Amino acid sequence: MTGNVLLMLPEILLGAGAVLLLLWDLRLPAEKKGLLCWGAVAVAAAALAATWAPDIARTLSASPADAASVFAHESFAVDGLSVFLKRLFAITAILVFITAKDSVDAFPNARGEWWTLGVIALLGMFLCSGANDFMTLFVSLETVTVAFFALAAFRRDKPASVEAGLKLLVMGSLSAALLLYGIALIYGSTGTVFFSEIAGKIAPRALPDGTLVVPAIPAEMVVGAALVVLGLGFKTSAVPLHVWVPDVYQGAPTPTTAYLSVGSKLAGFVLLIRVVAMFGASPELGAQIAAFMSVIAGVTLLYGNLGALPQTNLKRLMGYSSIAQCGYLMAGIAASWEAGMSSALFYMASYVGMNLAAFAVIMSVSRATGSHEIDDYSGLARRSPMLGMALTLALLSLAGVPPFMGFFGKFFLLGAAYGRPELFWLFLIGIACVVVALYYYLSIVRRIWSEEPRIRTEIRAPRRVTLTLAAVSVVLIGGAILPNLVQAPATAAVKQMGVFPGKPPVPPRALR
Amino acid sequence: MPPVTTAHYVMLSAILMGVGLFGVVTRKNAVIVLMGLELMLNAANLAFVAFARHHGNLQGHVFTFIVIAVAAAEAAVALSIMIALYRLKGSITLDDAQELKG
Repeated sequence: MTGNVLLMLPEILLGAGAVLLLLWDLRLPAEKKGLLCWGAVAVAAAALAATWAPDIARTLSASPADAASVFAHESFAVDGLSVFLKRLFAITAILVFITAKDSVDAFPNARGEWWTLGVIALLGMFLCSGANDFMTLFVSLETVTVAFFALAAFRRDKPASVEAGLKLLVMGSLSAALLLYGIALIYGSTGTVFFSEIAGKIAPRALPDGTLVVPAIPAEMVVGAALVVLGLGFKTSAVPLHVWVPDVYQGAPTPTTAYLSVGSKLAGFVLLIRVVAMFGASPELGAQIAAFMSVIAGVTLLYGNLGALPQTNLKRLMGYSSIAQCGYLMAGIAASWEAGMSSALFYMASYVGMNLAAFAVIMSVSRATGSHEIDDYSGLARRSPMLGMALTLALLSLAGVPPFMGFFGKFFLLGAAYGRPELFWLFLIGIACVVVALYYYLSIVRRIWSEEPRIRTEIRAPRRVTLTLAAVSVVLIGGAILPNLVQAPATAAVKQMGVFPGKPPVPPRALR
Repeated sequence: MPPVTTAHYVMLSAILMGVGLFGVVTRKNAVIVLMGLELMLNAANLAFVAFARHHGNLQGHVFTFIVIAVAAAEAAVALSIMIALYRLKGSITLDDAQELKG
């Protein structure tokens, strides 16, 4: 029951690191605040290294009891899924912190706190990845959300930033309240908030004489489960709680947008996978929730891709693109069998690379031009071949063009939906949206390479940004040549959960 | 007089939830919107306490305390964002926060 404290080492390091950064910020003179970036990177790197601590302890210790994988009365799971996501979150934070340094250093006010809040958000994401009961889920989710309220409204001198913070706040609190009411209804019908106990109460069980008892699922349980999925849809930017996404992406400071677009979204997805796994214990409830999510996935895909078409502001376009990417991930999770879940994890890994590469370029370009309009990206390849190349690669990967990791991610996800005959309509929507997405991503690529720049001055990116972009590009191509490097741990993590069938499940008759 | 059952409490919490949601959707003043949000959180709290009494365990009570703490943190950040908005615009109606569209 007590577990090994090593299992929580990454979270302990992050919590301590956030406090130390805040204290260090107090002592640092204003001209040295840039050092805090490296402090934050060091904390995230330490947390990343600490995710291997349980493995090391397991090999060193003789008794297997020390290597228990749940912590604090099953509230906190340290399994393949949580470790996979923790590594993704830590890499996300390191990439964002390194590429955001110049933009944050240029903030006129209180720039030290950006790093502290960033580490606190990372702590929330780490807790999200291991949340194994509804209390941990709610608190970890709010740790991420409230940190992002402050990060989005960070430029108090800019009306757009404050407006972004306010919109994030209203939608975030609204979705938290809906989520909470859903949790209350589930607690009401099962009498517990622990995922394992809820799954045990709704799962069919065999009596000693061999008959199978299928517990009836009360209506409030179904409504509660639907509200939980909706409430998590705020984080993953799924319809209908997606309305904040384009506004906040455009208005928030770009480092915050980069962090929000990846970290906060994936935190929502890992929680979604956990609750879907729990609801799946009951075949009836699992099928209803999967049908509900497939409808959300279809609408989200259409909304994100069609909304992106008329955009002229690149950050806003990335907002719609983020909604569209959420649709693909939801489609894989709605398919709710092993391939859908593992390809969702694979796509999350590729999403970290391609989205952060795009935002790293956006940050560098906007520091030179002061604009996020797509018009100002015309001829970017002539002003800075390196940035033009990196943005092209990121956009092609987001569009799902073959030689990149994004293609394989979409291929696997839509393949998982195709494996379910009753989700064939969702597969068709997904294919149609890939074509639509090609149009708006490739029109930016065309302008980068074939149009004349309005201003011809060279754009110079700092060396650490170009090095980071080069590393991410190598991973995006390398992950496409050797997809198994990511696919193997993702599949192992999903298999370890042991709830998703290895083959597409046959739909119950009522749903046909 | 009929006894007050768990169903009554849950119905009241659903009504409070609806009132809060209505306030969030229709009101223009940011502080009133915040009040609506707090009402929604407390509607969920009421449901938690009622269910905890119904099931006779403490998890619902503990959850309520956690929600109160989270709501306080949320309100602190919310009010500071509103102060920032007031300093920039001189008002806190949501109509003044409409720069981002499209």
